[in-house]
Amino acid sequence: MEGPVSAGIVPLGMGIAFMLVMLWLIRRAYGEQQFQEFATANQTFGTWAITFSMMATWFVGASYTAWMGMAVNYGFIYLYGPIYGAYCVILFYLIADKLWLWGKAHQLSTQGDVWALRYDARWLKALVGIVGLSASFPWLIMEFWTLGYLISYASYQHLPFVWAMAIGALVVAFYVTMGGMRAVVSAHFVQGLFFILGAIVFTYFMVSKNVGGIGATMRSALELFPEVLTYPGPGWNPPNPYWTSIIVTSSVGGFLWPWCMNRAFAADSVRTIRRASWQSVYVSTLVCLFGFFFFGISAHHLEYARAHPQEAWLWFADKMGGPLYVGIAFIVALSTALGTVSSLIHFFGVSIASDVMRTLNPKLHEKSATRYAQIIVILISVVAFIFANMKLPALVFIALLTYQFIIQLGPGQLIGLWWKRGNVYGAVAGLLAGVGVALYLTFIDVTGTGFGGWTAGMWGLLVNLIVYVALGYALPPSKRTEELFQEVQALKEEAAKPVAPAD
Amino acid sequence: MKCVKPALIACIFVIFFVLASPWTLPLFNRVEPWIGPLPFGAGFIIIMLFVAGFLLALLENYETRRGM
Repeated sequence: MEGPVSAGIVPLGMGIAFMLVMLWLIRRAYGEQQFQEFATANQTFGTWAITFSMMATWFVGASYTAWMGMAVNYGFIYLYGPIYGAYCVILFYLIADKLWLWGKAHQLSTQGDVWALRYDARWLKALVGIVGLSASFPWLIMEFWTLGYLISYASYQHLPFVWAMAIGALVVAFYVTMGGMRAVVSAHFVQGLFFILGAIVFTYFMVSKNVGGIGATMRSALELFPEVLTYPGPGWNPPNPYWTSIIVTSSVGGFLWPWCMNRAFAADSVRTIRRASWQSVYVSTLVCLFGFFFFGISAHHLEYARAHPQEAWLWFADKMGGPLYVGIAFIVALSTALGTVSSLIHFFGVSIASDVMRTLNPKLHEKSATRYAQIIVILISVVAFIFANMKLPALVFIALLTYQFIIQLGPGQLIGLWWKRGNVYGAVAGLLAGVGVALYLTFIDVTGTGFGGWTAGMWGLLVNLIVYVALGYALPPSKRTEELFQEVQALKEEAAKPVAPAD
Repeated sequence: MKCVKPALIACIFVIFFVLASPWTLPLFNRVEPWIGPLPFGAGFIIIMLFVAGFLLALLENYETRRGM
């Protein structure tokens, strides 16, 4: 995308204005906080804030580069996106009550805390924390890179990539350090609103200006490129089980990402998470349909977009309406990138301070833990900035590959919160076996489609599940687990009691 | 009334099986226009997801009223 410096000033100015307004709107979230408040905002956010937060976190910045490339090039296969978007929140819904109630009663702040409580093993906190941190690291780098790329590209590439990324990183690190989870979710409200409206309404306008309305676009695609309307799309031929694999892997893994599942600790009630979940099903379906699928089919008509699918979003906006459209498209994509980067660096700060430092030193004071988390947020931002400046051509591939490993937390977390017989031996042995199988099969077949379309993570998940269930039946259920499940009922009854009016 | 919750969850997962299974994929992997200009495959997926969302909303309403 080329243009004079004056053209770049419009979108860049709009993006900077958006960031400044966002920082001003969330100003009440800044201030000194205890660790629990920094980590979870003390469970205070309502339904729409959690819905927007789930959307701003779940739709990553790379949705507008890597996933947009998939929608533009292959069309139909992108529809795995709305299916997995819906079913990952449905799985989240099914464990929401225990996550929230135990979170409130036991002051939980991370995924490691949940595992340590459920399986009554303190050391699991560090293990699960480290698994989450390792799997999330490629995403952190990828999202920093995307942030820099979007800002630089929106300036018609007049602002160098390094400076572009520095601006984005400074803004996010500032508000996350100053306000913790309260600032992250408050900012998500603003970002989610812009992103959702932009992805649905603005994309519809852009698509209408290209081939015509949605009807004209689909009729034209049916005539010119019918292969983009069916699985798997042009120029690619994975077997049908690959469709199943990517949907199952992503659905199970979607809210196993520790930076996504910790939304449960920010909600003000179980009902809030449940309502946010079904709202998210509708919102994510509409966003995927209008913002990506219809856009992808429309952009597929243009040769440049097909040749450079990862640039398609901003390039298309420029072609349809010049710098003003680029500015709006930039804010939409920037919202998702800022949302994900903030969730990630906040998670790194909280997880290292809680899962690692507090495990090593249980007497670590609340305020000291907050201070450490804030310092880690800054340090991890610097580390991510350095890595994102390196040439890492396989980064998107590595980030996607991490899904094959994060889903190995599935049996221990998703089934473990329903099934009392699940025990620590099954959870850990299953996790290790699943990761081992997924790792081995990944080395044998890097494409991930070589086993009849079933990916390495699916085989790992199957082995993991067998080990978890077998050891669950082989060993007697723990008394502590029984007590913990009974506590859920008592906590539900307590939460349902009407609050006495204040005198 | 005890079966309402399991029945709703079962329906939601039947939809998942239909949408995600490699055996049912050929049933809706078709291009002809279905709802207006929307091709059959995309239209089927979107409608099924809307139904799943509606069932989840029903489940939420049921659980809230029952204090579950």
